Amino acid sequence: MFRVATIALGVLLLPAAAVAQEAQPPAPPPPAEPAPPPPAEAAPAQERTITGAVKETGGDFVQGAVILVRGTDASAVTEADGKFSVRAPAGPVTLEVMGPAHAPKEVQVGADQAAITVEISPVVTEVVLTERAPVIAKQNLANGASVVRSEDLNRVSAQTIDSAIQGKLAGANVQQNSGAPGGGLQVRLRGVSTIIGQTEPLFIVDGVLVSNVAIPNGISAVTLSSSGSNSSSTQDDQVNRIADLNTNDIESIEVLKGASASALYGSKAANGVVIITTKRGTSGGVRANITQRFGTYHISNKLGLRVFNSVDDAVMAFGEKARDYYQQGRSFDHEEELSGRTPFANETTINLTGGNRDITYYVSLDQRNDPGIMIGTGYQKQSGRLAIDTNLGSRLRLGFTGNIIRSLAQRGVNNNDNAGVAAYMTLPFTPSFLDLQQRPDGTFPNNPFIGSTNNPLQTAALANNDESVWRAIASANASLVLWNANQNLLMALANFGVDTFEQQNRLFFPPDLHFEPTDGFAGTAIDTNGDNRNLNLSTGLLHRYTGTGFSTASSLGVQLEQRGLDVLYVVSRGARRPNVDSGTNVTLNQNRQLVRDRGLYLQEEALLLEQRLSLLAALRAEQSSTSGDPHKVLFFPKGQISFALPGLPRAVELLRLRLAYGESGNQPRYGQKFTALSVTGNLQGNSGQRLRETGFLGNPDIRPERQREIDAGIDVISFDGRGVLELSVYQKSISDLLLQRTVASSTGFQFEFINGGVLRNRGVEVMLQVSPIRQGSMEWLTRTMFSLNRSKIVDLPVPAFETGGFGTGLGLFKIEKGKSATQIVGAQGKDAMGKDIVIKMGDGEPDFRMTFFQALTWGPFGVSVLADWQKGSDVINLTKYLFDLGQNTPDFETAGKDRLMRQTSDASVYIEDAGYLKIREIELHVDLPAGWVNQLGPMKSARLSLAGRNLFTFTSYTGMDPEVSNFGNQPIARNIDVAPYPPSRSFWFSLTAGF
Amino acid sequence: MHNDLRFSGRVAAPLAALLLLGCGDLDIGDLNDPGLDDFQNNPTPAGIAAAATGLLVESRLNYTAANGYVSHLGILGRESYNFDTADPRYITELLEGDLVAGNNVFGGNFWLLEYRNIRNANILLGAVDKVAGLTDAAKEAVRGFTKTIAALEYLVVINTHDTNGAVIQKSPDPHVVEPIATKEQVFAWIKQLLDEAKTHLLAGGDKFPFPLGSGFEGFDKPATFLKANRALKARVDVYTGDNAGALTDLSESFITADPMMPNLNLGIYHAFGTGAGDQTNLLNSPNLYAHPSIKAGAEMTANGQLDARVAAKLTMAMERTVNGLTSDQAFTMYSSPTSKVPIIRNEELILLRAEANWALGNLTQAAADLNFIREKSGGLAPRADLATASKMDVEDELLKQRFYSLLFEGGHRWLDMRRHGRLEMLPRDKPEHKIHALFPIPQDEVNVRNPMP
Repeated sequence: MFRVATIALGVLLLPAAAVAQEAQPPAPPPPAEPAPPPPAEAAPAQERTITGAVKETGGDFVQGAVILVRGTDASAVTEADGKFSVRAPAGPVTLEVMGPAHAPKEVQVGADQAAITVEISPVVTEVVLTERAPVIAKQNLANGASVVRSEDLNRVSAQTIDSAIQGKLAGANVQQNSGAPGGGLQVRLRGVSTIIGQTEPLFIVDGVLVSNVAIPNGISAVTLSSSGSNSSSTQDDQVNRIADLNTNDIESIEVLKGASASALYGSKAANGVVIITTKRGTSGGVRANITQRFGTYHISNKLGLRVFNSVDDAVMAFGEKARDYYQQGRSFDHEEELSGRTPFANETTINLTGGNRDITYYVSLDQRNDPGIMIGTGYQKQSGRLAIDTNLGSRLRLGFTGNIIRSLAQRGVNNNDNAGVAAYMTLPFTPSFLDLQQRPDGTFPNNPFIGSTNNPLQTAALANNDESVWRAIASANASLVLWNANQNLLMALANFGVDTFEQQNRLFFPPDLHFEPTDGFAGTAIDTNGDNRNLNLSTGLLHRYTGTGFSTASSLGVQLEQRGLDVLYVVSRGARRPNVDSGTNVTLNQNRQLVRDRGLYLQEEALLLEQRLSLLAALRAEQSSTSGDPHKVLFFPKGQISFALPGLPRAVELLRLRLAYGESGNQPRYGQKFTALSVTGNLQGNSGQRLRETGFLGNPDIRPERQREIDAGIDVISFDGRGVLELSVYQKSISDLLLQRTVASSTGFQFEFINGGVLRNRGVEVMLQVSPIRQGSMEWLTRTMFSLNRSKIVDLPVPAFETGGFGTGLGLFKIEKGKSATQIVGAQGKDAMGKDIVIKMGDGEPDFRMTFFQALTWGPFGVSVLADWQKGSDVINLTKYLFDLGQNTPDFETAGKDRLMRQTSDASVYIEDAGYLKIREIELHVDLPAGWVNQLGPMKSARLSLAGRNLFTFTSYTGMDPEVSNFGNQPIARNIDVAPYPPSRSFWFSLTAGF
Repeated sequence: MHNDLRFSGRVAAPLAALLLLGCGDLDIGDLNDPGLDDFQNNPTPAGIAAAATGLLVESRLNYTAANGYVSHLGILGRESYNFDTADPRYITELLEGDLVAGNNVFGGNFWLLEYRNIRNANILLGAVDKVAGLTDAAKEAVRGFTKTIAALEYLVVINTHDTNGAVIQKSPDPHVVEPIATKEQVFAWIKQLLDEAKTHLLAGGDKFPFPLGSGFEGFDKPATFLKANRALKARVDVYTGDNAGALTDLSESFITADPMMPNLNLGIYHAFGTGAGDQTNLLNSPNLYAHPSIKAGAEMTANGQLDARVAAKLTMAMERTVNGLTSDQAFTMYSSPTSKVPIIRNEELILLRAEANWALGNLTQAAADLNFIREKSGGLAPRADLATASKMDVEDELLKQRFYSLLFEGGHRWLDMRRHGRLEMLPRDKPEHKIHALFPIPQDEVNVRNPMP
């Protein structure tokens, strides 16, 4: 009865071809018609029904497990309570049981046995490939993918989804760019994959290609951050938009880290693919869960300011002016005044599910409010989502998901600036004896010690930097069973997805701010409007054959994708009001992008030798408008093989060897193929058209970077699932890198984009999960992940070049043949010619990363800890350099003076080891006894929990937070610390009630 | 079962239709800028007009920037200083040290922007051949204008790079690295461009199909623009020693020496505007100062007044001392953000005629023109002795008149002193200061020809 429902429940096929699952397993042979069997087949003489239940070893009943009766085409899927019922021939039979995230299991059922309970072992990190690949049995996948499930995501409240996965995936280096509320994190999978290409993994939510663009808010018009020696426009502390998703809606996050897994995503997959599956309805009566969380944030690290013991010292550091302000024994903690708030945060989540055999629904509402520790900052998000799945007849299943999100991030004025307006750009030059606090009359004193006279407390209180986003993500999918007989299943699948958002940044710097005017006009209003629209459509066919000890799955499909972005910046100088029309000097800048891709894919998968051997071959053919020749067809092949060894000792349930190879790409950035003419200049009102001043020569032959990855590994499941080991080694080699080449300027151009060179990453990932105790209601689970990656520029067709940073005197990144792609170099000493000697001084790449997860549950009580350890990785700490320049570091007399002096001939002084151990999450919970709960009215269950995020950081790094990137998400040049928003820790108390 | 099948048909057909509809075009052009390809392949008259105007927009960019042609050459020729303390290279590189080929705003200057505009010109010439909707005469007018502006850009490059030579950008393929041609070859190319332009302009009808702006008042028709073209040709003739040719070309130019109406400022100019997207004249920067040698070397008029040119062009300013250099005089010619900067004007033409005659040994004619300038421009008494003075004396007088007449309007002093082998006679503010004779070939240009191993 319920079998039908499960088939397509999980069909989210972005790409159309996959019978996918979220919590649900791959579709089994679908609904056996109650009608008589086809005449060709002799009806079994006798038939019986086996009923039973599937549960996790020592755990709950498993919903969505597939039961196959060997030698027949009979099958069933377990319902929410783990129960199933399946037809079987008379006599003893073998049942094959496959859970959604479990090791497969076979059980014998005697001739006269009518009921059975099967226990299966969870394989937590197992691959659940949900898209493009019709997976017969996910445990046969041959590359090390990783999965994070809902329960691991939501233990501790997280503002954004990327912060929720920190430390939870092997081979995924997830780091925040600053402590500002509302996101801005970079996900790097298996090291760096490009030098100047796009850096973001591809994010797919229920088959929708969602945008993760980061649109700079335009604050650089005030901070003038791009007018200095590094003119990057990405210093606006911008948020990459994946932050909008509601973590509570997510059922699982699966990460395809390299081309060997992600080849079917073609030229958008070189940075990996993050497949997010959201929660969907289950049939049954209406059930509801309400979670209410209360929390608070605290600044977790401060730099400290120098305290002066005598007026002479103060004068020495700050000049004669200091005499007017210095008072013996008086000092202010400006950091505390600015970021010492311990605001009250809250989050409410409500979800509701129910339905019957024909229609199920899932509704969720979420709101959160996280005021920031810094005055004037904070984050708010509201999300509403509806998912409906329905059967129209026995063959057609439709699914619909709609999600509306609104977020507001107020991120303050931070990061590099050249106007003396950002908080931590001002504090280095602001003595601790100066009183910055608001006066009783409401005004703020100015700051005579910095040219801009900026008082950061005034700026925080009066300036606005609001980023509001309205976003709608919707998908519709359909699956139609075309043929289902003789162990064959043929389905047609279709999917349509849309992701559209409007990001609106309203920035206002009132004329009364002490630093206004920085540009001759008092007051600045900035209005940034970013419109993004992603559409994707796919259809395909899927065929499965399930035989005895042999099964195949084939799929074929087409995909169409379109991504559009239109950003308009309005900068109004001399503005007296937040309205941009109140200014006297208004400039406009518009940037539009539109990309279309077409893909065709073909995949064949076979399970042989009693399902021990799995083979997979796939090919994607693709055209993209980003290529110089958009009609050129690019091919991305993939192949996988895995083999589960037979004849294992009793204690070992699975020992599998696997090998995978795949290719993927990284598209040129929009516009790299065009030689642009500019029409923005004019002569006395007559439009003048000429070559752009950027000097870029478009390349009509530009094509995607090409990644080739080989991945090999071993998976072991032993002691009834108590020990799980997954080990992968990989090499990914990226050729045809997108690079910038200098051309002779006598051609009229300066640079062109080319394809060339080779970048290689090699690495190891290990996941070890052990349950040392599993007794009665007590279970202790430990999970340790290790990952190590090394990159090397194998070939570089252009001269070695520097990137990121602010010159060799302070350290920057250098792309050089034969060296690590993320090496940091700097000047140290001079050669005989008096030129700086530039040597390697560090590397952005960690030596390795390890995470430790411990969870202990005992009846209603549970406690868990997640620790995240990064060994090595260096950061260019320019914030410290600024404080030393201002003679304002607490240790200036004893060490800072010396640092400054050494820096003139040695850039390594401010390049620091940024290894850390962070206690990311701690959670304690108790499930209230049912007896108590029932007395509280309609509640069925209730859980109380106490939790904390980023509670402790152990590091030798002397900046505020070793997780930092002044330039936002970067292919190479992260790890540059310039006046970031300070880090915070959060504490949460939650109550979850089930109805 | 039957229902299901019918239903599946109903669903499949719209899905297939949706799929086909969704097959958007993969040929997405540049959404932010007019694409070069599009302009080259499908030019329109409006595009041609904008591209022609664009040549002037680009050309004035480096001519009048704070680190542009007038200002940099002014410093080299000891006409001016730039006391911008944010960039010490105006002194350390241009006066004290070597010209560094690696940066394109100081030592590597007068190359990138000029060649970009030459490329603009070449693109425009290609597009004119294809455009529909312009008369043949209009096309010829555009060609004549374009080649004249291109010649002007080449002149900036070769004036600054002199015997180092320069590139002649002939190939339409920007990937072709052209050889570095000699100074003589480049000048020959400039002359060829100007002469070809003449032919085009003669066939160019009675108007240009685009506005030339206020800088070309009186020269904004093919026939009148031709006179400016000939004026530029005469300058090139003199620079290359073709003095007879210079006299011919001058006779076809707008030269006039009417004592009643000297009209010395008649000519073509770079013009500016303050509207959004327009450019202002950056030569009115408060950092720009006049070299003290200008006033010090100026003659007095009969009634004891300062040379009228110095009196008009210099003004007292707040005294500043930077790196041991001091000046209290600033220029007045560019007092407003929209002050025009001469490209070539009648006063220079008279001086070019004087120089050509001097070189040809026609000292009487030379003396007449020089005295005309002395009187009409400087307010000075004519030198009666000049017609009979030695050739050297006339040369001294010529260079002096050129210095004061063409002060700070296009690097004339530096170029003149070099042309006449007198660079070493430029005044050094400090003994250790250097006098640069020419600019190095930019580093990127060298690197492309000699790739690093």
